[in-house]
Amino acid sequence: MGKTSKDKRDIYYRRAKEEGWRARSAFKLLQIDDEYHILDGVTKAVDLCAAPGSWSQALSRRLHETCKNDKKTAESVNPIIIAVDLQAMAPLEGVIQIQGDITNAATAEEILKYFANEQADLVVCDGAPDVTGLHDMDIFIQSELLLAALNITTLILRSGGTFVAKIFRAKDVSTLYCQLKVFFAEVSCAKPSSSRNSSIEAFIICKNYSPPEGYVPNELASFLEKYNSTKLASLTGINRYVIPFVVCGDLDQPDSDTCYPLNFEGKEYKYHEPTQLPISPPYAEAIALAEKENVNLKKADASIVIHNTASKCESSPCNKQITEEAKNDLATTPNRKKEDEEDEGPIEKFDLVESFVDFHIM
Amino acid sequence: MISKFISTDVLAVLCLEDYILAGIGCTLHIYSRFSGELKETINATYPDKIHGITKGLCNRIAVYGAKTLCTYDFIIHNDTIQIAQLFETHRFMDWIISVNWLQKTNDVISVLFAHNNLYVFNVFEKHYKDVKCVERCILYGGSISGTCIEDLVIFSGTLFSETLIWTIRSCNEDSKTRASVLQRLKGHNGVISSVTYDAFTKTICCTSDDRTITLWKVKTTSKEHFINWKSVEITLTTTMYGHNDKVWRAVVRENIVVSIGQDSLICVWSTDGKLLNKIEAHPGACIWSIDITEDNNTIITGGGDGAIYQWPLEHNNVEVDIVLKYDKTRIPKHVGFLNSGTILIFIEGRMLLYRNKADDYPRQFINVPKYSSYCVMQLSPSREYVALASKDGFLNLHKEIIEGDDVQLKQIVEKKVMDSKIFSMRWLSNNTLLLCGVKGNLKIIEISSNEIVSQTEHILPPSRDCQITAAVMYKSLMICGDRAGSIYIFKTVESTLNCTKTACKSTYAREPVQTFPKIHGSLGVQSCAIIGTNLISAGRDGTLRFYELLKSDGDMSLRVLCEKRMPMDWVSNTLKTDTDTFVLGFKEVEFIIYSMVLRRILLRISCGGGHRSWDCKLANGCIKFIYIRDKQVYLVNRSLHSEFLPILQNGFHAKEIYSVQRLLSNSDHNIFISGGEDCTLRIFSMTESTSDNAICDFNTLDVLDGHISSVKSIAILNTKNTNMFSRNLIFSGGGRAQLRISEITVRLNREVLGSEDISCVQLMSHMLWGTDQQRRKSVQSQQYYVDPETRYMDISAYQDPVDKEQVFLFVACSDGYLRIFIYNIITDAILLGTSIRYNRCLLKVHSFTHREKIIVLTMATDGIINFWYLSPLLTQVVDNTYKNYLDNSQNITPFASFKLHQSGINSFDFKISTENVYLLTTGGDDNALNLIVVEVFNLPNGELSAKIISKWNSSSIHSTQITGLKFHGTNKLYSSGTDQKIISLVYSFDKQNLLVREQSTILTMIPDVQGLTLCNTNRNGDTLLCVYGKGFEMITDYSKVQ
Ligand SMILES: C[S@@+](CC[C@H](N)C(=O)[O-])C[C@H]1O[C@@H](n2cnc3c(N)ncnc32)[C@H](O)[C@@H]1O
Repeated sequence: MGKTSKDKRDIYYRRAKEEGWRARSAFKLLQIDDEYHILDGVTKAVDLCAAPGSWSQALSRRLHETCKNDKKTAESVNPIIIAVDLQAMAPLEGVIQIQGDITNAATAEEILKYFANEQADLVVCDGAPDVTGLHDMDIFIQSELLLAALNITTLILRSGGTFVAKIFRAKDVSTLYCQLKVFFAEVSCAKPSSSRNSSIEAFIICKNYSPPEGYVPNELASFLEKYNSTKLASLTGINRYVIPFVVCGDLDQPDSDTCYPLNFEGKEYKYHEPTQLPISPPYAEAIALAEKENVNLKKADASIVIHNTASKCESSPCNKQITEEAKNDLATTPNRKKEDEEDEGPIEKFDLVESFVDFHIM
Repeated sequence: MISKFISTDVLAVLCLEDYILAGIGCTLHIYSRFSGELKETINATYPDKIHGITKGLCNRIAVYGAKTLCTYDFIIHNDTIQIAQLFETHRFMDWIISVNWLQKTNDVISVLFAHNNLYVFNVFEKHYKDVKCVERCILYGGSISGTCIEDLVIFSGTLFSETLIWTIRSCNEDSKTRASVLQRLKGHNGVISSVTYDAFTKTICCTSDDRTITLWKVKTTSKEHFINWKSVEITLTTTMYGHNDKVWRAVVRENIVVSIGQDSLICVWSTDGKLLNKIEAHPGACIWSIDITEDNNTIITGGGDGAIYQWPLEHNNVEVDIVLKYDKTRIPKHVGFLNSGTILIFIEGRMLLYRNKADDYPRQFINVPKYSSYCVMQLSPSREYVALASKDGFLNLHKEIIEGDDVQLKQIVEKKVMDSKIFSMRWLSNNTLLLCGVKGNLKIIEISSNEIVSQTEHILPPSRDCQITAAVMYKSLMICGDRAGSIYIFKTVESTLNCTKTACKSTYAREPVQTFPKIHGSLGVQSCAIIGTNLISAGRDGTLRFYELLKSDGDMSLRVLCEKRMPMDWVSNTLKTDTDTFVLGFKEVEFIIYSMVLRRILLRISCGGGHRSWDCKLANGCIKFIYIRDKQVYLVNRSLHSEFLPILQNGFHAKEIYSVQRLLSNSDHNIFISGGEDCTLRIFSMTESTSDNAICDFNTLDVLDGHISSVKSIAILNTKNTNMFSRNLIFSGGGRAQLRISEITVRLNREVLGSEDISCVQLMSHMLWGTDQQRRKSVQSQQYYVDPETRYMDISAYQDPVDKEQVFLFVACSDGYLRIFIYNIITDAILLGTSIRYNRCLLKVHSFTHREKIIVLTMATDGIINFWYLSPLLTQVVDNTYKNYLDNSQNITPFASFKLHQSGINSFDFKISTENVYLLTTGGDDNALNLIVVEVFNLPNGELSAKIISKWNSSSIHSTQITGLKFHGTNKLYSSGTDQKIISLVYSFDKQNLLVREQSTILTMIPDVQGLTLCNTNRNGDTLLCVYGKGFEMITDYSKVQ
């Protein structure tokens, strides 16, 4: 039951596995492209916050196609795709991978190396923080990811190029809109239908890169200070700056909020293994250790401690002994959470934004 | 508009002498630590939330959050507290991670920002220095230590699982040079959520997403004051695993570390890594903030449930004494306390009495060899009588005799009372006993003047395990529970003493007159008790169940009221005290005492579980608990005094609130019902206080469990309203396609309403796809089950104006169906009448009567609102009712459709303007807000139709999804969105023209706003709004309505 329950609730999750995408996020990029044609003619692209890599997959498919077509007509160009993430990512053909933090200046420099005398046509960023659960902090971090991505963009994007990034539609979002408007002629906010209605995530589509005169790359933060929310509030009108909101994906595409039966549209349901195994979570070690020491950390007096004496670590699990008798006699209560755990679907882990606001998935 | 009350994440707490400061939203709350009273509130960091509070010398306080910093001087004189703002609120460009007062001067403050840079800021001169660390990255956590610029040291917790240590000494005024990183602490696998440095113990403590806490020792050789952070050796000493989710913060005090996490746990550790205590402090919610009082006695925590609690910080949590100093070859069978507090231990055919734990030898030995191989022992309610029962039907009674200092047990009678083995026995009163023999044979006996008199005999219906586990008398009813979780009610006689033989016969019945089969699941009933006219049963399914004893025509019967899930696996029994009711039970290896008044666990004692004999007695504010573990008898003595630290702020829903509805609102009372992600329904009252500070008083009146998934929507149907009470049917639905129906009665005879004025009956639970059990069965029977995991998104209840017994429930479902249920109020029966397929996730539904016709509006993720005329279908359904489900409603189509939004319609309100003309407002996922005037009319062919007469819309009022809309008065509209804006709009409709104007805006501190609800206008003509999401806020609008 555990395996299919994720399939039951999310049609895009199911489809991603059927079509070999590493995450259901792929559909978001594809639907954005259907509406905005952001991939047309692109040969050099940067995918920021790319793991597990479904956007890179989509980029790679399309860019190689473009290049093949080009080859027929003119001199050959080879596509460049650079994927960056905090997490290690399984290799993808034709995609250069960099592991690093996009908010860290060193990462930006590394990306720059690949663009010695060239410029990118497109920068995309699907970055989402590992949410803390504190909404205002998560929203802040998300906007920092976006600005970090914008900073990298200003270093490598050709003028007229496109920038697409995930944005949280929440408090202070209009400030971000304003700041983006400084660099791009056309800015709009898109919501692919594969992104849930109740989720605060959306995508900002910035076309026609035209940096303001006098802008010095790498000084984004200080440059943007004059567009800070507190300052903007005094410049009335600007903070009310409205950008178009566009829903991508027409009505005949499935709706990510709707629960569809497994046998859908005449197709008989078949279980598919996930395309890509999940990247190990930060707490993987804690779980492995608890398993090894046979300690259930959920128990009221269970703990494990590692003493790092000068030479080596030794582990001394305390309180792990519970009498056998007691264990057998314990009545078990129905545990509501249990089900959720079973359902920690591998792909969904990367849909952090959705799991963050989208509590209605049971 | 002004905020009156807020309950949401408590992100900061600080102890200041006898006061506790807490940040809730942007408001600083000041409580008295000992009385728990809220002394003062200060609106501090608006529009940012308070994330931290830092103390300097002489009670100088910095309050900060997001990008805002405020400073205050607190002048405390015994009972009074004076607060002066030091300098005006400062807004920075960057997110504040941590703040520290440089105590040498106390005028200088240092601020660490998320971009890993530090401001040193003179609060009076406004002069500052900005130093950036060479490592440019975003921080999640960090702290600053030091008392002057020279010894300032910064601990930065990065996203990349490192803690960086740096100082600003090498950096001079020109801010071009960046501070270098002096040390990197590597030992975590996740984001560093916090770093603290304890200068006394020279310990650095880090917490992380990887669920661990690490301690690092800074090795300084001498008593040197300045540490050379570049050369000093820092070693990881201890890594502690005990949390089951991200660890958020930790505090180091002397040899103790206290950590809090998103798993609702407080863990108390010794600095050498020993776990001393684990407290589930804010069940289901994250714990965000912690501090320890200056006397090191008390822990203060603030949680995601909005609660602020105090906990005793005891280094040695459980003091246990071994009573029986015997070799382990003998096996104690039963333990108990006599009325005098004397300990009784039954061991291998002997009863031993111990006066106190210091006794080396028992004070008395009583040999009862008849009971050595098998014995059932029970103490009477007064604890004066000890009853023993044997395998061949003998009953033995001893009485406690107290003479001065001496306590003795004296046998008063022994008699064969049953032909079979006595399987179990329960005291019904101090002189009646219920005995349970083979095959469910029950016998009531009475003890009068040292004689055993048989009374009535009864029989349990045959079942797998026919054995009584609980019993109680109420007048002439005997209520008992069995091992299989069922409750039986028998008619018996109150007492043979005041009952003539004939009268007895007329009331008595051998078989049960009423049965509640498996009401406690199949795990067994643990106890039954009478409180007032209610019965409470406790079970091994972790619940308490409440029943009402009804009297009609001289006959008594029981009616099930509701159930309450307890934070334990088995609920054993309840203990009534003067001011509270304690619930005793077990969770895994722990004995638990839960307070019904405080709604939290008071005491936990690790005892190995509750499957062996134990006893618990409350005397003079002390809990005595005795139990057997590993063939030893243990005694725990705990004063409850320290457990009763006052609650500073009561908690509410542990997670998001999805719906708040007004149950009752008049000039005196505002009562609401709410439901959310934590699967509970809560009834709460809001009273506007008349005092100067004009805050609202908030009180949770009841919490209803029973939803197995989140509650998305609540619909209320008022069934009766008098001066004395208001009765309502509540329909709640949400995840797992579950619908619950409850009846809530509010008695209005008092000025301030409390929990006792609410009574709640859980009428039924309906699950579209059956219960888990039924589903598991269908899987086993090889039936392939295609389950689209439906969620109920919204419910509209419609009472048939003619046949008032009949209620139609229109349910918007996530699988694209509008389901129609028929609920009969009298028979309490529900039936799925029919369903209409729409094929898009339905988000909202509304029903109303238009010229005696039932019209239903549905709104979905496609941004379309549909008008359905359903009277004919409903008539058909009703005719068909109670036969079967009507399956031919597929071809029904809406009579009008308007595409109002690009995508989901998340909120709406609807009201009649003039005859045939309605006002509709909708808010969408696409930021658009619509106000439209719709006319519903008849086409020449008689069919219904609708058209938009006038329309106004805006995409700029909110910059995000619009999640709440409410009409108010004749010309007002309130809206709320995830941009946290609450906007009041004024509209007018005149000559086909809609004019709309924004009146005022306030930012709410509630994140993830899900909607808003209005109260009636109060005496002053002000409007009270309730905005909900992650917590809720009450906002008053002072502008008058028409
Ligand atoms: C929603 S996932 C991206 C999914 C991806 N677009 C795909 O289609 O497979 C968000 C990613 O952002 C990454 N991330 C978050 N913060 C980052 C940072 N500061 N630098 C680099 N990557 C980051 C996370 O590691 C995570 O893999």
